[in-house]
Amino acid sequence: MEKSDKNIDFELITRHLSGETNHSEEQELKQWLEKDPDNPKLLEEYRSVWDKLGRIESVAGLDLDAEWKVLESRMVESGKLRTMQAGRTRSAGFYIGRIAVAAMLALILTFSGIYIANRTGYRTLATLHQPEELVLPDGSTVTLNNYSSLKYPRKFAAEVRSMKLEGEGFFEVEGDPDRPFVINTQDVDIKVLGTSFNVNAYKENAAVEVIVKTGEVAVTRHGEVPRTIILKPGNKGVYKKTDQSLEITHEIDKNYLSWKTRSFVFEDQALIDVSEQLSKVYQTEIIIDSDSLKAARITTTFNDQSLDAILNVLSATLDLEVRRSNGQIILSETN
Amino acid sequence: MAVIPAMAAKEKNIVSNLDQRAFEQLFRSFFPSLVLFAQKFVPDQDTAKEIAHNVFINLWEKREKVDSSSSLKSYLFTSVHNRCLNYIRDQKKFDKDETRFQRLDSAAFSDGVDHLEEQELEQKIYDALQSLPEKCRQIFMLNRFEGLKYAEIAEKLGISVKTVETQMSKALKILKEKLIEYLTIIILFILTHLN
Repeated sequence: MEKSDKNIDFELITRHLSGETNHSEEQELKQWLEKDPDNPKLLEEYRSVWDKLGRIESVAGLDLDAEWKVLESRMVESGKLRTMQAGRTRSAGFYIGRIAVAAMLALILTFSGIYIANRTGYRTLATLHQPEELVLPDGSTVTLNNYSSLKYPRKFAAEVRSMKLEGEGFFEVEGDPDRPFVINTQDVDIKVLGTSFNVNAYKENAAVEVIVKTGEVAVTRHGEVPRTIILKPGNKGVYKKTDQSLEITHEIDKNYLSWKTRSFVFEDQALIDVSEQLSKVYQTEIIIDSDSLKAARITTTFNDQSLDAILNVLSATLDLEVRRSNGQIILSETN
Repeated sequence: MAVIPAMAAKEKNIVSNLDQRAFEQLFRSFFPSLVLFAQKFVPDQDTAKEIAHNVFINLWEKREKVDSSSSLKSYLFTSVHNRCLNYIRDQKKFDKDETRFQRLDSAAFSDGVDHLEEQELEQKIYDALQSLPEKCRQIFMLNRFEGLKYAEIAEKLGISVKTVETQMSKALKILKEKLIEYLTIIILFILTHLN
């Protein structure tokens, strides 16, 4: 079998399986197949490997580091890890477990995000319920919004600074014309030289949005027909998942960066819209208990204030009552 | 019918002394194949992942009570299977269009966890793919799973078509070396059961 392997350009077999061959290459392959009865068998083995890979297609891209981090954070949040400390076993494993938990809790108290380093030299920063700022190996900074993750190499390659984003992040990129800065998301890639911009690529959203603050950014759509748009300051690139369209618009929500700055500008906006934005940024559920109150209009600005301070302003402006119950905030009309 | 005996032996006594590191190892070894398994019953991957996550959380809570003499692997797959059935049942309560779940329903009941060989094979394939060098794996996945042509991959990654070609062949060669024995065993297994 080894001999047959050597008789053919192995790259030709690969080309054949991946559908890259042209007519004359197919002829060449056919001749090779007829030359030795072992050859078709060999091709079948490769084809079998090729085909069987299809069975794991849907999980091939699973990021085990990220999945483990999700599980870990869910266990911490629901107090499962404290339960573990109170366990009854007194094995060596238990004490190692205790130390691990203590170290993990310390880490979580320090950052709300969790770093995972793996064997391949990548690190992942994943945030939970508050944004985190991170300095990348090249000095660029990233602020990650809630429930987002960024996987990046500990050391960037010589030719490109590439990383993988899920969720939303604001990037301030160090200029380096020789080494483009590339962010891969599930649907589009974003390539920059030196600039600042926001990427919103939460999986559950119907669109990916890139808003440029300074500099220039290229956004490339994945898929059969790649398409690239160039964004300048004040531009927003929108990739719609439903029809895979990638377009430039100038309609930029004034509050697109509120998750990072905690600054808001509201101009004649309904209270329901205001409360939705606040609840995302402050990670608190806000309920408005009457329809007329939901529709009430408000014009105001807030600059990095606490949620309590903002609620005080709303309460005074709209004459409403603020109650807290089970971690929720309930706004109702005063009688 | 143990196709891959090494795996069964390794996982057996883990649970009696399930510290955090062993738990993480267990998670990394089984999560992808559990998600694939759950996807046979539930409609989307997010639900499948959620179910697999819940099974691990549950295992952690009950780690002192789980019977370590029975196979941990079959415990995991059985738990995922049960939770999928519960999910389908709960969905039916809320879903007015019951027919949507009928197909899933019959599939769930007819296809239990009796044939773990299939799941083991999937895990082997996943592990083999993960064992490829990072760049090599990235290139291979773009072609095999996202259907990109060599030239498109070259452009996307800013490398030459020749490099793509070399990496593709390298990937296939490594994958065949790692997988061929399992693939032939499975083929034999299927053939003997057909006769």
